[in-house]
Amino acid sequence: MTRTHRPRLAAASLAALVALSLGACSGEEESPEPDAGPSLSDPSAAPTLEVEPVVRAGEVVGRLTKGDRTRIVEAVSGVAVRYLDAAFLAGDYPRQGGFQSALAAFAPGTAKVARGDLGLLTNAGIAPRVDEVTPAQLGVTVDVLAVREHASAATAHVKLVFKTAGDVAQRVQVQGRLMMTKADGRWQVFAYHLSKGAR
Amino acid sequence: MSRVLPLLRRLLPLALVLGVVGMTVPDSAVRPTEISLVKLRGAEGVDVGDDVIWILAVGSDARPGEDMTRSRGDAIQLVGLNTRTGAASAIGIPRDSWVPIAGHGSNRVNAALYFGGPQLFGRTVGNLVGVQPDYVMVTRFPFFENMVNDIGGIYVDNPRPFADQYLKPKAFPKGHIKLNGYSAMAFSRIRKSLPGGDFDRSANQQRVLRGIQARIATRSDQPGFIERGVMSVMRNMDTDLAPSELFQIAHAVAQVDPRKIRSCVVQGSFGTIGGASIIFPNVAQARRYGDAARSDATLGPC
Repeated sequence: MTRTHRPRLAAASLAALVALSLGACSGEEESPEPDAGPSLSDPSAAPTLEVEPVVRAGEVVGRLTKGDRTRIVEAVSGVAVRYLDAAFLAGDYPRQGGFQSALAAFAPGTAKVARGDLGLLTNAGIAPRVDEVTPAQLGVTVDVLAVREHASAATAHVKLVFKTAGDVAQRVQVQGRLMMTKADGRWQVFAYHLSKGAR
Repeated sequence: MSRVLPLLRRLLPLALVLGVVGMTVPDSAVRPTEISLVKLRGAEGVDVGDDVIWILAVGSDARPGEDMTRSRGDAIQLVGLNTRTGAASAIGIPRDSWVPIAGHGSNRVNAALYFGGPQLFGRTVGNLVGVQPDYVMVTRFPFFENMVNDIGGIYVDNPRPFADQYLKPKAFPKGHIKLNGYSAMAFSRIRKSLPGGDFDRSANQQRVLRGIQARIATRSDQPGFIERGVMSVMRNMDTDLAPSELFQIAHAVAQVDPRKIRSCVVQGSFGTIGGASIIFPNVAQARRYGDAARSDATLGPC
């Protein structure tokens, strides 16, 4: 059986969610910070999901303009959502492979380590025995470290819950953190601390 | 390199729960010397793998107004972190170790900081152990105290009661004890009342480092904890390392597996030169520690 993505979440709506969640954060003067991270307002870069991600700004340590907060939370959460989608939700199940591409936003050294954990960091271990994946919950909360009004680092606290059907039928929860810094102007995962549980 | 999150275990009591962590600390440009946290190697550096970083941690006794990067280090620990396996090693160097210092003959190891700043100090300790540090971090004790207080104090396993008439008249009891910032400083600095003198003091410093690491690891999943810690470092230490690099180092510390921490102190014999008490370090032992831990930050038995 093949799971088909339904375009429940347009990129613009995720951006709107981010903006709403940040609405009360700041009354500071706005001056945009250049941020070349993947933009979720670019539909070609944004995944379409069956569940609406709940994106929030967590702790912003240091000063950032309201506009920058929105852009950075959007960019960082976008990296996290794209990873989670590619690792656990996307693709045609029973899925035979292609999971390494989920690590596209990981720093090279981290991706090398992560490839050894692919069974935990993706559905690689169960994908051939799964007919369908149905997401139930996806949340991302973004902490930001800002120095001299520029975002230097961020932590995406993620939680994903989905159900699988087929030979492997279970409820899976993925939870933890993706730590990111910028490389070549893009947010990149340099460390992860994730747990996956199933029942 | 697997970890289990207690929270998730509670959430999914019947679950098979597996956790994974991983990270890398990429190279970046060489930094100037007149700072308190100095990176000694750049992208073209030799023998820095993707997985292991070495930090020379120095507690300075510089007085207010003194340049701590040209002071004499009181606490000297060469710490290796394996960001792939979560292993960590600390090699303690007694402050009074008598060693060659490039361009300055031989002297106490901590004189290298005074003579040539963090660069020379790093090279001097690196030559003794056979492992060149990637970073040299020098802190004043007041900041160290503030940092320990900021993380809520630490716990150490103290093998013996000891006191000091000036720093800690009421003895530290034996056992698993909690230290606030001042107590952690005193625990790290007291020497005269310890049977092994400088060697025991260095081992106590390693107990404090373990306590700090454990506290950071425990709290690292709290929202904003690492971010606030890095900001505190930026405000309290002179460094021109990029905040993102500090952030990465902080996570390297947080992801150490406490079960994989090993620590040894370079032993030696007491002596006197020019009327001053010094220690002739056991260089062969120091090199053995370095050889054991260089590539994977894993020390064998001391």
